[in-house]
Amino acid sequence: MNEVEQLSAPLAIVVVAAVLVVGVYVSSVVDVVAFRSVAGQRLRPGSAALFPARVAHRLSRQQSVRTERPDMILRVLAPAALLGLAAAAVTVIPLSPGIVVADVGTGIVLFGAAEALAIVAIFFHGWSPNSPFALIAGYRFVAVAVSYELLSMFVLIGAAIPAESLSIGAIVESQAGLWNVIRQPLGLPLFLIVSLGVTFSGPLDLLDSNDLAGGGSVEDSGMQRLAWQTARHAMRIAFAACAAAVFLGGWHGPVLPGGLWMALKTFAVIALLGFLDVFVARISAERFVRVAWGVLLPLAFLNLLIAGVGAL
Amino acid sequence: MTPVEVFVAAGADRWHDAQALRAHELVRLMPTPRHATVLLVAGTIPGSAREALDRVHDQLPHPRAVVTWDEIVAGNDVVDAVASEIVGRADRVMADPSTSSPGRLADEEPNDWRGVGPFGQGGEGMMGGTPYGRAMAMTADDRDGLSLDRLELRLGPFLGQLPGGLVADVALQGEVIQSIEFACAGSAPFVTGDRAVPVARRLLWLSHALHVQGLDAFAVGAARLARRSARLDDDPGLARDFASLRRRMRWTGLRSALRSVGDRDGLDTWARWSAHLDAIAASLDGADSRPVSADGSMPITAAELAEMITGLTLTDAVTTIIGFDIDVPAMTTTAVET
Amino acid sequence: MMSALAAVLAVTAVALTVQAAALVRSEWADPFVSTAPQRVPFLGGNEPATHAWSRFHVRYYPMTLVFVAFEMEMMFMYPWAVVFIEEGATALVEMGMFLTILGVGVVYAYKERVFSWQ
Repeated sequence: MNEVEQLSAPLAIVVVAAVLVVGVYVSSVVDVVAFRSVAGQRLRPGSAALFPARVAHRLSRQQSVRTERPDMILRVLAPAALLGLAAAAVTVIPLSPGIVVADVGTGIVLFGAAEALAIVAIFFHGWSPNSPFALIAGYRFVAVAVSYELLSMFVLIGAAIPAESLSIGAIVESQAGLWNVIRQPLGLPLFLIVSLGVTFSGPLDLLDSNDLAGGGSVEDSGMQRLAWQTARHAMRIAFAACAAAVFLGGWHGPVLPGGLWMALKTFAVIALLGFLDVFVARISAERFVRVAWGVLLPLAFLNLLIAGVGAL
Repeated sequence: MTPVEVFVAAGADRWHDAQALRAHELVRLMPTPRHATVLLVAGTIPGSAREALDRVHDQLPHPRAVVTWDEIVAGNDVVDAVASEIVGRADRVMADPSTSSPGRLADEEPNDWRGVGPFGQGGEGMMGGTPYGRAMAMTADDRDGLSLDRLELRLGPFLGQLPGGLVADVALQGEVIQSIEFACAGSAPFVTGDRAVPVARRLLWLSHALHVQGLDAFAVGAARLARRSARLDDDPGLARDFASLRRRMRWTGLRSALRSVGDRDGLDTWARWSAHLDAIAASLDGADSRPVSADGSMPITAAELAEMITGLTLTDAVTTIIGFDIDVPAMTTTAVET
Repeated sequence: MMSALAAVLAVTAVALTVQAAALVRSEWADPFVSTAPQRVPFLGGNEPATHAWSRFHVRYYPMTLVFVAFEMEMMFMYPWAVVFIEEGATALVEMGMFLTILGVGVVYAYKERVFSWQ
C-alpha cells in the first residue's frame, strides 16, 4: 500500500475547498450546456461559462423569504449539513496517487455514513419551512432514499472484495490491472442510479420536482436557494468522484498524470449525470420503490456474486 | 444574459398561450413564485380570484415586477412582445430594487395567536386555538384502524402544475388523497378530448405536460413547435420536427413513468398521452384538426375526475390530471376583467 | 489514523460553518423584510387552513423496518468483504445463505404489499 503522507487539517481544508468550488462551478455549467443542447437552443459557450456566476450574483441580491412558522435552525442547518457531508465524502477519495485528504482504513463506511446522513439533511430541508408541498416532497424523498441506500452499500462492498480493504485508496490500487467497471459490470449503473437519487435529479427528482410546485424548494428564494443548489452540486461532485475512483480506475491511466486522469473521469461522470438529469422523465416514488426492492436489489446481489466469484 | 425567471398567474382563457413563453430563450417559467422575479398576469381573472392573485403577487421575493399580458401592445407576435417586456422590466427592477412592486395585501397576521396558552394555543388542554397563527391539523380515521392527521388544502387557481384557473379542495392523509373536489362552474363536461382543437393548442398542452414530468428541455422544444404552427399554416418541416421530438421522447422513459397511472376503463395515462400525440401528428400531416379518437380522452366531468383520483398519491393524481387536456371554464359565472 | 479523522472533521466543520454563516448573514442583513402575506406558504393563491406539520401518515413505514434489517446485515458485510479472499469459497456460501434468508423476507414483504401505498 502506498504510504501517503497525511495532510494537515488546514491543508485538507484548502484541498477540499478547491475541489468543491471548482467542481460545483463546472457542474453548474454542465447543467446549462446539457439543458441548452437537449432543448435545441444555441449553446453560447461564453454565456454558459459565466452562467453560475451571474445566477449566484442575482440570487444573492434577492430576498430570502421566510415562511410563517419555519424551523429556522433546521432551515439554516439543512443546506449547511448537506454541504458538510459532501465535503466529508470527498475527503476519503484519492484525488491522485499522492493526494488523498484522509485515507482512512474504512473509507467506504465513512462515505456510506455521509450518504445516509444526507438523507436526514435533505428531509429536514423539506420539513423546515412548514409548507405542505415541501413536507410531502420530503417524505416521499425519504422513501426513495431508503430504497437506494442499500444498493449503494452493496455495490461498494462488491468493489471492496478484490481490494481486501474498505479504504477507497486500496480499491483504486486494486484496479491497476482491470477497472471495476469491467470486472463488475453491474456496479457502475447501480451506483449512477444512487447518484441520481442522492442529488434528486432526473428520474429520481422526487424532492424538488415540478409536479409539487418545486417540492422541497417551494419556499426557497435568494440565498436559501443558492445555498441549497450549491450543496446539491457538491454532493454530485462527491458521488462522481467516488464513481470515478471505485469503478473507473481512479488515477490509473497512461501518459497523463494521475490527478488529471481523476479529474477527467470525474468530469465524465458529472457530464453523464447532468445529461440524465435533463433527459430522463421523473418516475413516481412508489414505482421506484417497487423497482428498487424487486429488481435492483437482486441485481446488487448478483453483482456481489460476480465480485466474489471473480476474486476467488 | 441569464433567463428571467417568471411565474405565470393565468386565467383559463390565456393559460395555454402563456405556456408558449417556454420557447423564448431569455424567459424561464418557474413552478413557484418564490423562484421568480417577474409575475406574468394573463387572461381574465375573475373577481373571486382577485385575492388569490394578490397573495401570489406578494409571495414573490423582492425585487419583483408585474407584467400584464393584455396590456402589451403587440405587432405580429404577441409572445415575443410579452417576452421583451418581461426582460425589460426585470432588468429595470434588478438595477433599481427600490422600484420593486409593493405588497398588495395588508400586512396583518392571519390569526391573532397571542391566545390563551404560552404558545398561543386555546381551547381545552393542548388542543384547539391557533398556535403561531394557524390551527393544527386534526385526526381522521384512516385504513387499518389508524387515525392520523388530515391535511386539508385548497390548491389554488394559480399553480404551475395544474391548468390555470383550476381549484381543487384536497384532503390528504400522508400522501394519499382521501377526498378531492374540483371547483368549476356547473358540471359541464370538463375535457377537450371530444372537440377539435387547433394543433398549436395541443402542442402547448404537450409543452406543459412535459414540464410537469420533469422534462423541461423537451418542453422548450414542444413550445417552439407550437409557436411555429401558430404562425404559419403549412410549414413542411413541422411534421418532421414533431416526429423527431416524439422519437427522442421515447428515450426519456416517459412510457414506463406513465404506464398504469390513473387507470380508467383500461386506459392509463400513457394511453391518453399517445392519443394526444397521434392527434398532433395526424393534424400536422395534413388531416383536418379532428377530435382525439374516442379511446384517447372521453369527455369527463369534474365529479368523475375526482372519483378517479381519490385514493391515489398526490404525485400520481397530478400526473393523471395532466394527462387530460382540461378545459377549465371560468371559475365564476360573472368574470371580471383585471 | 486519528489525524486522518481530525482532517475529515475539520473539513466537515468548516464547510458546514461557512454555509451556515452565509445563510445567517443573509437573514440578518436582508434589506427586505418579509411581510405577513409574503410569508404564507405557497398553495396557488390560497392560505393554508392549518400548519403543515402534522401526524403525517408515513405509508412506507413497514418498508423502513425491512431496510433496518438489511442495514444490520450490512454491518456484518463490511468486515466480511475484507477477509473474503482469505476465507475463500466458504465465505461466499455463508454470505449467500445470509442473503437468501433476508431475500425471503423481502419476497414476503412484497406479497404483503409493503412496497405499495395506495
